[in-house]
Amino acid sequence: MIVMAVTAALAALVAVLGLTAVLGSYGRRRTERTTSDFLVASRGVTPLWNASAISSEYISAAAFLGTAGLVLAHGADMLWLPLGAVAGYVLLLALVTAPLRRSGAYTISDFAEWRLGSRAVRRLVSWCVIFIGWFYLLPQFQGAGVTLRVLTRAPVWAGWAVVVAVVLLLVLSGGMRSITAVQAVQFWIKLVAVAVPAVAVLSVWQLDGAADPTTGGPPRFERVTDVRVETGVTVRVAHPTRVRATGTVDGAAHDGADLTLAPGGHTVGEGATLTFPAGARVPHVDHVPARDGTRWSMPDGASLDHGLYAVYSALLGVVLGTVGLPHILMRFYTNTCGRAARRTAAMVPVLLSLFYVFPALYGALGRVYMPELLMTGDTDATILMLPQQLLPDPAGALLTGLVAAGAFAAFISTSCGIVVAIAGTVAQCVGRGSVTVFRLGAVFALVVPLALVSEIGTLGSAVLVTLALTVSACSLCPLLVLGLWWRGLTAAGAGAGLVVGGGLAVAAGVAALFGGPWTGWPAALLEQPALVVAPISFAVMAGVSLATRRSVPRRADRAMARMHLPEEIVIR
Amino acid sequence: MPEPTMGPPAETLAEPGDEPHRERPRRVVVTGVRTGRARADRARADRARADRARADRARADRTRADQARTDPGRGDRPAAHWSVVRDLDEQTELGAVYVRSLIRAQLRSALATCAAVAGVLVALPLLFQVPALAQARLHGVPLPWLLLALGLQPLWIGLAVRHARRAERTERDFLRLVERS
Repeated sequence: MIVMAVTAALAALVAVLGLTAVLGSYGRRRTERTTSDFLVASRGVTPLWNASAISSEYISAAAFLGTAGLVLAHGADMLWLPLGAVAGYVLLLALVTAPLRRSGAYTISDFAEWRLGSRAVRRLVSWCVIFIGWFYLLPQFQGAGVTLRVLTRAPVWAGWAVVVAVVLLLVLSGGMRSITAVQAVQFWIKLVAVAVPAVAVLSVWQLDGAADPTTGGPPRFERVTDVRVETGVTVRVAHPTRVRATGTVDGAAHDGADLTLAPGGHTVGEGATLTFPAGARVPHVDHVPARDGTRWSMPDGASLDHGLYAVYSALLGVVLGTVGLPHILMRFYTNTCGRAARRTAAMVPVLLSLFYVFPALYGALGRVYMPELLMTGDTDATILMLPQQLLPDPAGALLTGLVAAGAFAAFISTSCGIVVAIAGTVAQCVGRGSVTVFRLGAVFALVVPLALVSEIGTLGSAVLVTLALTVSACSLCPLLVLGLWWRGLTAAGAGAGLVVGGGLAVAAGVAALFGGPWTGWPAALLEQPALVVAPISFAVMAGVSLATRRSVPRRADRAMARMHLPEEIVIR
Repeated sequence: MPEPTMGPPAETLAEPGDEPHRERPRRVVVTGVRTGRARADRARADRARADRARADRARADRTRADQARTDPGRGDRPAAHWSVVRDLDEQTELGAVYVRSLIRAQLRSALATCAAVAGVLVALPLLFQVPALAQARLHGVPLPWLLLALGLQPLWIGLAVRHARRAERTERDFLRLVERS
């Protein structure tokens, strides 16, 4: 079984890489005459094609693996995140796409400099783009590591190496046109990869009449289960549980001996295997609460610290964060005009909604069939493990291969998008658009998250992406919304807002990742700061702009006219 | 923003209604006091609209085709025969009034869309604090799951499509207005 699944996964990896290479070389032959071509594909991509590419960049490892994992761990409280993501695109359509496209700027830093006439603000925006990109790349690396480790038992760095190699190859060779093709095709790969196994898994669940995950008590092992712990964890046990242990438990080495885990916390060392009897309650990794089915299926925030605050804050962070994501915004420059950009943005919710039907399903069935993931903390692996767990071999291995293809497509497309955004920003800022600087920028974008990814432990990938979205919600989103609609925004106001909002959000993110562990209000505030910081950022931007209203750029009126007049009216 | 000090354009952007725009031409709403002159303007506009609409669309199509080939909107194509276009370009007071009216109309509809999204997202978590609602089931599936995973997405799609149409209609009306004056 393992052998077939491994073969299927490796075949999937090779297939995705091959497709990527073909599309990439096709793009390379056609473009790359100037940096403008290189960066924005000569602005000739149709709305549906571009909408597929945008959805593809948005469906990262976090959406593909993380959503199902979060639903498994925290239940219905996590259904808010995909909902907020789709809602974010409605706001993006309403507030940003058309005027931003009409401004004619390549990157969001270009926009800031053009609108406010300040190199300093440009530099600040570039740093925001870089920080958001780094936060966003972390979960991509982590997801890739988990995928290869779970499917092939390869060390985690193998997954990181694959991502770095493929992204560098693609970004350095093709420029954005080839990436548009790669992205758009990969969206449909991901949709098939998540939908087909979901239907299969759902039918199996219906046929064998297994338990309903939304009723009954806390998760139990249905039969005798060996649980292998790949990375050391602390687990909470609710009732005395008799297990057979091989490896380190609570600091003592065991070799196939029976022992009883008393209620409370226990540390299980890396590589240990615990054998649970049928019917035993599943111990939960310490940041996941053990809850019965009814509580788990209620979206009332009870699984989180300060639930209602956390729900609203996460929603605000995801919605506004989606509005300000630099690698997504850059995509709209490939549309021919503001109207096409708007039509593109209107199609994205359709594509994303199609995709987001499925991850919750995997999360729910994971609770029935893979409860041991709640103990190992590898909840991101739910979607990868379910098909081979439920289906007999040829079918199970094939579907595993399909899911693996989707997962690889997810890391590669999002990572490429982010690396292009960072490298493009660096190239425009430092090298005035030189292709060499663009390539150096791509390396720079990858190195830092690669250095940090081993430090972040078992945090789920969706949690990491929420941090990136929060930084974007607190820095670039206010800048865009105010810059596009309010002529009174000044360079000083924008700069102050970026420093305060972006700075607070980055600080909270770093504290949540590397500080702690936190509990109570500090935990809620540090993990989901958007509800507090985003309004502060808007207020600082508007307030400082009002205080410096004498310095509204002279060209503000002309800029406003250019952003909002339809293209048929030609002004200078 | 200060109100226009000199003669505002007799007609400004129509507030986009909900009826499909193809069935009948857009109504033109006259801002400020409805003077006799404004009413006359409107009547004249109504009469002229039928034969203008077709010509407009044809020209817009041609222009759009042009735009698609070149860098949109930023070329040096002559804008000669539209007088308001020169006003817009040269940033006269009149041009500013026109631009402001367009931005306001677009901002109004953008804010309406945002308000709808915000309303849903604020109300739902509160509603699900009610245990009866959070535990309700439909054919055995928890109602919150149905709503959050399937039920609300069509609402977002509907809002997005409606907003895109509205914004395009506002722009079409603006182009027509600019061309008329």
